[in-house]
Amino acid sequence: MLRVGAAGLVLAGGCGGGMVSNGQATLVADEDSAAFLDRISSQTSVSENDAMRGLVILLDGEDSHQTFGQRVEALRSRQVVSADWNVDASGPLTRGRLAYMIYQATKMPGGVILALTGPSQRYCLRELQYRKVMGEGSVFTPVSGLEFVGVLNSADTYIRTGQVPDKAGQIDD
Amino acid sequence: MRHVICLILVMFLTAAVWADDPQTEPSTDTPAAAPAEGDQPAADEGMKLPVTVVSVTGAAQHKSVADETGQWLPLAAGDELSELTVIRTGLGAQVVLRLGDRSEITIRSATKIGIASLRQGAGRKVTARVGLKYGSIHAKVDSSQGPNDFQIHTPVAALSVRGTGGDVGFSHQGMGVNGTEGTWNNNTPGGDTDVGAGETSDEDGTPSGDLDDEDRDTQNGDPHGGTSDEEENNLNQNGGGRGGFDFNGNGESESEWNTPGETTSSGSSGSSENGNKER
Repeated sequence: MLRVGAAGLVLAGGCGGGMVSNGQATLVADEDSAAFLDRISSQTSVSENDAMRGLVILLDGEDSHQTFGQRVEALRSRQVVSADWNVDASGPLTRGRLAYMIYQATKMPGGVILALTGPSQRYCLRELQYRKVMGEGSVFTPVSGLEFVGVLNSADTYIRTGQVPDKAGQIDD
Repeated sequence: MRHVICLILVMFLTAAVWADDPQTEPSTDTPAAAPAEGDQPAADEGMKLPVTVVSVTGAAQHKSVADETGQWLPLAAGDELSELTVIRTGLGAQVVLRLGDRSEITIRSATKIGIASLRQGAGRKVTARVGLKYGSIHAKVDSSQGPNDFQIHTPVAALSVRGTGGDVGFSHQGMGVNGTEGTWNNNTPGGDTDVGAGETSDEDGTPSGDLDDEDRDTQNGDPHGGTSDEEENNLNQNGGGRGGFDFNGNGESESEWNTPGETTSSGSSGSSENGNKER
């Protein structure tokens, strides 16, 4: 008899082989970016399900996907989520993964190492720290809700203007 | 006769009970909109002024703390808001507010603010208290119409402006303030700094990692997307924040951190946020 784990279905990933855990997990429906950011801002950590929603909103302005699995597939197809990642809807988002996804989504020009080796969590994080999009911390540290909001906003501003706002929210005119 | 006496007694007792039973509002966990009389700050005195929404771009919503239904409503140009209103914006959004005849606030994307109070008192002095929970705003205060007492409170500092303009932001990386004209005063528990046109300042050394471990207002929000009791309390107490400084526009200043008669220090601003950095 086929048994389904209490945590939900574990789906095999695509060609890259990364596993998707809790692929059927859902979020609040019809949540616009203002409501989403407000909800996330007060959380001490960010789930990967919420993180995927945030990246989808960053790229498309809204998230019409029903499940975590759908979000992951959409972001994998755009190479924002690495195909070989094991992802879990309820798992905490780490700084390294956030840096990688933001780097890929914004298509920021990187430094020499990124150009030679391609994107990695470590060097994407360093690049975003250099650009003051992300603060200090290691690749494996969980991301707080407040940081996620700030990083998404900086990324969105970069996509629209080519600049990262300073701490006061200002960019050069 | 006995029945008449009993009836009169019943009527008398009933009247006494009604006279001693004042009608009261049902108690709730949410504090009343007005602070207790003993704690009422000066900002609550005077005539309430309207907050007018000048323009809205993108996703933006508002909610009245006094509204028991607790619904977030879309924000639109022309809306008139009142005190104790919370506004939040999404990515790429922008809202411009006009506060009475005296100041204008541009709320940038991914921002949440609360308008704690906006009053006009004696001598046309306008007192405004705004709380910035996260994100950034540009504020411009016009002193040509009269004196102002305008404060912006963030989780780490309180900023006072008078006939001036500038940008304030608060995020995981801390607080930043850029002066564009006039003078701001940036008051934190560690001290205060004047920020002039073209100058910048911040909360002075709060690493982003430490924010998560501290009891900051932003960590006590309602994860279900409403306004928490903490937020409402802070809003009722004029925007919350960690410091307070009143700069009353007459050339004198008085700080709640100093005793009357002391002057505050007017140090130079902090360093620019955009310095070069080796990779």
